[in-house]
Amino acid sequence: MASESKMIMLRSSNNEVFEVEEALAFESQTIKHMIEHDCADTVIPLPKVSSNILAKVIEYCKKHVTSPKDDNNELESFDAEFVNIDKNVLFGLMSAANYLNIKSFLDLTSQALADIIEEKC
Amino acid sequence: MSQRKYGIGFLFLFDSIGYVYKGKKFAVYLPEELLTNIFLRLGVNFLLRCKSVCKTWLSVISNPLFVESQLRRALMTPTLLIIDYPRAAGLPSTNIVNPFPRLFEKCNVVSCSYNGIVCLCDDNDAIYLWNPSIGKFKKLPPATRNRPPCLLRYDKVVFGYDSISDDYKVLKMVYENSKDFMRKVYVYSTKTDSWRRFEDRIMRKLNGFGQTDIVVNGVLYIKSGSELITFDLHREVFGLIRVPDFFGKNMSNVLDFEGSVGIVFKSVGDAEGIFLWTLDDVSGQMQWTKKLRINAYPGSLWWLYCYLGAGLFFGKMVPDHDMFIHHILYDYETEETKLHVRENVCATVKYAKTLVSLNGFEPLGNMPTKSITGKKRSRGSSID
Repeated sequence: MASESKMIMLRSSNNEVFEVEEALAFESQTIKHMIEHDCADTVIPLPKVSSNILAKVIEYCKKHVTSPKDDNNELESFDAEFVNIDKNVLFGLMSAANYLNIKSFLDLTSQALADIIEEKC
Repeated sequence: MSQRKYGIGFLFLFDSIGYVYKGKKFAVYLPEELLTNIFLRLGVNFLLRCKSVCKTWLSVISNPLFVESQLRRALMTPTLLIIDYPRAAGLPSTNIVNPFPRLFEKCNVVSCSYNGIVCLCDDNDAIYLWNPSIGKFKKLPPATRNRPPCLLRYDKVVFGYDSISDDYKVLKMVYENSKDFMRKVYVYSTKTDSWRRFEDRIMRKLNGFGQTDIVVNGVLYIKSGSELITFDLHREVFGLIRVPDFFGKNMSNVLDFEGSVGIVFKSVGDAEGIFLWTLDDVSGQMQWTKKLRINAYPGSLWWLYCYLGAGLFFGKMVPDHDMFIHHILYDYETEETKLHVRENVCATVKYAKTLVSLNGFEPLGNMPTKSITGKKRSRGSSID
């Protein structure tokens, strides 16, 4: 990790600002695109993502960016626990993953929802 | 919409697309692309029920692009479709899920299944295309005019999928009259819903009924003695591939091994054992290369039937000490062999559950079959 990593500010739909490292923010292809194409100012507005959802998204990205590449078991159990939540939050996370274009997160949340649906039938 | 009929899962999903339900408005709105994402991860049986929930769901699931995406996912993890033939009664049948349609009682399964479609034909020249997952089928128009039944016995029917034109084709190789020394060929295309007749000298090479066949990369390979008769399904052209002499007579079925044509054969000599060889394009030339060793039942390769993917070879055998057929699953990566006992003689087909429906498909309707003892029984099952 670079000692001076650039910080990005993300503003949620309810105007709460989150400061994250650029490497973490770049997990989102949407944010990455906005920054690389100079479409954003100092703060990136994310009007479709509420702060509690955004906090969880950041938590997910942080874990995936900072974990060593070969520790698959740890990541798998983290992911499994991460989606073991209220279905409405899960839907919110999936929508956010889609909007922010974070593929691994979208796959994780969609699969979790599909599993719940098939299990309940 | 009653909970009893559709289950909690439906309500759960239905809630989330922002509909007003029982006076409550739900805040979460799920766009169609996300709905598709979830649907792609659900099983075919479930999806078929989802179709009757609302217009949005019906349109998403019926969309040909969705059917294609679902198909591609399904093909990544093939399973087995097991059909217990009614005429093999006498032994009690095991756990069955779907009834085997009475319509197909006298039929044999032709070739392999492709994209979830199974081809069946019976002794009376009737050929069917069937998707067991959605319960729809069609009967093919006749290829030839009435012929004496003794000639029908020498028909060879083969089924394949042309991925270039997205066309399911059936080949029929027949003796039209008793004076024919070589079979005539009829090709049926689902797209045109018609047969085309032609002759090819390569048909002289097809001895007897030919053995197994498989489609790899749009080309049909029919094993015939020590040669492979090929048929390019798109261009509708025959060819011939020789199998190395040292393969000898002891060869397995022709397989689709991860996109290449494969044959397993037992070598005698310095490299004793059973090996899989594949036909690959090596610098522009088609060559047979030795791929891997098969360590299940080194004494014989007659058990080997097909390659399922993900390292698994599937086969059947009746061990010496037993009278029941055993299904064998051999994992070449872990070198583990698993056995399952099957109590009935049956057809087992490498299969993937899909929503694919062809032109002219009609629903089967639930027709139970009867066993010899007169009790109603169900036939046909799938295992993962």
